Amino acid sequence: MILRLNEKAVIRRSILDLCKTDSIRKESTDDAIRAIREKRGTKYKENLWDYVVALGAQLSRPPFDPYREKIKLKTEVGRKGTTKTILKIPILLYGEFNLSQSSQDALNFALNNLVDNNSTVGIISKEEPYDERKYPHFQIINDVNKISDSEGIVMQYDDIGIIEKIRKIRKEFWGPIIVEVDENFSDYTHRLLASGVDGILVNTEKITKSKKYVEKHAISVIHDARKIINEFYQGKENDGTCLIVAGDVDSTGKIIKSVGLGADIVGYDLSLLIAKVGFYTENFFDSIITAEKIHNHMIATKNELIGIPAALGYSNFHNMSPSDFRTSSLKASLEGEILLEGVNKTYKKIIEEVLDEYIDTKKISVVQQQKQKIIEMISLEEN
Amino acid sequence: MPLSKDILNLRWNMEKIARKDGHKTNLKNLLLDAEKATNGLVPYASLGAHVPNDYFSNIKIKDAKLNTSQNYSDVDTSLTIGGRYSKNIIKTDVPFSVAGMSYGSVKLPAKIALHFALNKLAENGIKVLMNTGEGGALPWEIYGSEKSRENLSKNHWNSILEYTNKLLKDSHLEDICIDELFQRKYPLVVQYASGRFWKDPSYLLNADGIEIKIGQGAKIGHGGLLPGSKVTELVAENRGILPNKPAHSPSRHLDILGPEDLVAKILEIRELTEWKIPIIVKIGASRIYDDMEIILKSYADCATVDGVSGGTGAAPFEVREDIGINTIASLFPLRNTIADYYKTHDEDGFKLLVNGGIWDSERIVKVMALGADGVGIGTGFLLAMGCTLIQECHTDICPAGITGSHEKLDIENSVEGIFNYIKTTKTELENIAGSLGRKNIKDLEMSDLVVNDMLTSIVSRLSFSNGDDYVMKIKQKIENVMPFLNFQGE
Repeated sequence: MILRLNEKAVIRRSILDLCKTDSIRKESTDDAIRAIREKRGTKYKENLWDYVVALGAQLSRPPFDPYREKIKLKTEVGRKGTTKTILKIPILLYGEFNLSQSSQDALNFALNNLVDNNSTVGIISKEEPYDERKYPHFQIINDVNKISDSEGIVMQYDDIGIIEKIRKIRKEFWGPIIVEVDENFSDYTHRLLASGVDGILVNTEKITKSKKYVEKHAISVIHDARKIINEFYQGKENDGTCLIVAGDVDSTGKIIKSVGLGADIVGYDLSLLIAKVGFYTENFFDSIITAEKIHNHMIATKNELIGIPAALGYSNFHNMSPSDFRTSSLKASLEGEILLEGVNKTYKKIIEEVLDEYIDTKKISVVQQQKQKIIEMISLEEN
Repeated sequence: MPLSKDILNLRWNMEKIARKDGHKTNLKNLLLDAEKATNGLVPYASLGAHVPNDYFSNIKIKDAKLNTSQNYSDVDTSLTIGGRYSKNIIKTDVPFSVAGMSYGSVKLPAKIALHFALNKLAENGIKVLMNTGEGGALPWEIYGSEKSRENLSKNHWNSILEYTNKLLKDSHLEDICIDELFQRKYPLVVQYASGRFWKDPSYLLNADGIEIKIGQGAKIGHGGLLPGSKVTELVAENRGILPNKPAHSPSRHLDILGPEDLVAKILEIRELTEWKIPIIVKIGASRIYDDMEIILKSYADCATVDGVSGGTGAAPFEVREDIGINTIASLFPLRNTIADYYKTHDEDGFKLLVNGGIWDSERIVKVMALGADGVGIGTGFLLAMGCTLIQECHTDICPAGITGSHEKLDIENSVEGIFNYIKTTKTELENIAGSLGRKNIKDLEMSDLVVNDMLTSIVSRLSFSNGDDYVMKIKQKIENVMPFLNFQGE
């Protein structure tokens, strides 16, 4: 449980009362905790990610041993027929802002070091790629006539002429093309995929700020984006289209949950990474130290990423699926169609079952559309 | 892993930053990132996971009284384990046990305090079960009875005494009387974990129960872990491993990969112990239906299920946080699986113990009313010894001196604290059960509990205080939205 200081104090005091005075307590600890939480209200809003957990492997499926067995994290970016880019850690460092020269140097040094250590991560940046890089660079471009020597291309979706632009680029560029989509991605993703796009990038932070996803969480965006891609491939095999999730994915736990719920690669916020490793060590301007810390951070993250699928009984990071996850939140269940812990059903399914029973008992005729509307309205209450 | 000076400085810097922005910054995550950037290692964590919803505080015990002038000491709070396949039965006077906390994860004085406290309770007529944890048992736990020492050669006994003296000397506890120490008056369950941290079969033969640890709530699918800084020469000697190196037990028993292997292993231990000793299988709460079905069909006497908030001495942070389900949420599938099994089998005394996030009488009552036969408590005992809940058990900075640091634990006070904690918790249990009209704590039922939110009702199948359950609540919601749609009844 996320115990805040005052909750910890209640528990500790309660036990110490039992220990020291040898007398029966007058107040219930759980009542006191509940009172604290009610008083706190939504002041400290918990992140929905915290309510999602994975199911570990034990007797019914043996776990792998990350210290003694090989767990694959390797991810290919690129569909059939394109020149694929390989990431040894499914992370693309993602940043749109201008980095200082020292930060760029640090980053280049760190990423090259990671490649040498069999831990390739890529970068998405609007900067020109470094000449002496060993890692894949995905360049954000606006002008189709300015394609540099990068391994991949990232374009922002715009209504006008995106398909034409992709076709034009494809004539001279065989690396992966990724399109960063906006909140209306469900309207056009199939068209993008049909035109040969290799990956869809959703920035959950941007999208959840839009009107369409107001009050919704990154889980909802990932769920919808994966659903759209799966619909495109209904009845056929996915030929390598990947879903890249950026935004509210700033820790290993969130990377794991994003991938489990549908992402293939995570766009890790570059500025945040540099801030984390540089700023707090007060060596922000020292390229060598910052590079070492970025490298260390990524290696530790890699080892964390290896540990989770192993504990879930998988030897491949990408074998995790939504069925391996459960939630202790109705909102998360509704937004990501995640099964509730213990009951192994989504909240939507539970509502549907009760509704069916209600319709049967009351003997009313309800068409499918009306049924969906009722479920939606009840779900909205939770949201 | 000790916190380096660098990391302690970082923590101080971050504390300042967090204070400035009114603690909106997630200090723990920042610290973890800084730790990763500094040493490139997977960060560890300890005690229970930070799950945001553990349901316990959303459940209320109906009309129960913790403190009452009436005397309910006739309420039976005992627990028995075994007898399903084993010849022996463990009987304790309280339905809770000391959850597995091994020597190494907690320091010697804490282990000795628990040992003396449980002895004192036994002398006062309250027998409490102790679990050794996976790091092997201490000499006085294995050889704590005359019978267990009967067949020891003089050389063997001398080597045991030599190691015991080294242990006591290392903790500056030479004053402790060896004769007093080598008296175990409480029942002991030893863990049979994937690390096999024990030296000879006497570890199993002299125990009152054997727990095959498949998993634990804080690190399901990961295996045990003791950071290198806590593997001292003496801990290493007790476990039969190298000192100063992290002890990573395999994530699975190398000879238990599936259901049939579990059966084979249990039968092997049964043969070794002449079918006398009760065998428990411990799992973390995860794929409950499947795992529990396997345990029921093996030759186990009892199962222990550890919820995600179950504590640990050390676990990789992300494994602790992201794997496993809550204790309360695990009880509905557990109940269902057990009930399904006994539809086609006769009742045979199978017991279910539950751990994780349980530290007082009310929580014990809640899980028992939801189907558990008993519970394991870990953190509660640490609190009774002075734990401050700073959750740094995996480092060497425990301010209470329980898990690691140069702070000295006051054994006498700790024994008194544990003694009172257990005694008063037992009285509280009697009061709650008695005020609900029960003569036996096992008679508690789901109808003794009520919930105050929809999700808790769904996962626990408990009703609200007005008698409605989640189905009724959803029906009310349906009726509320009906007027907005045009429906036609038949």
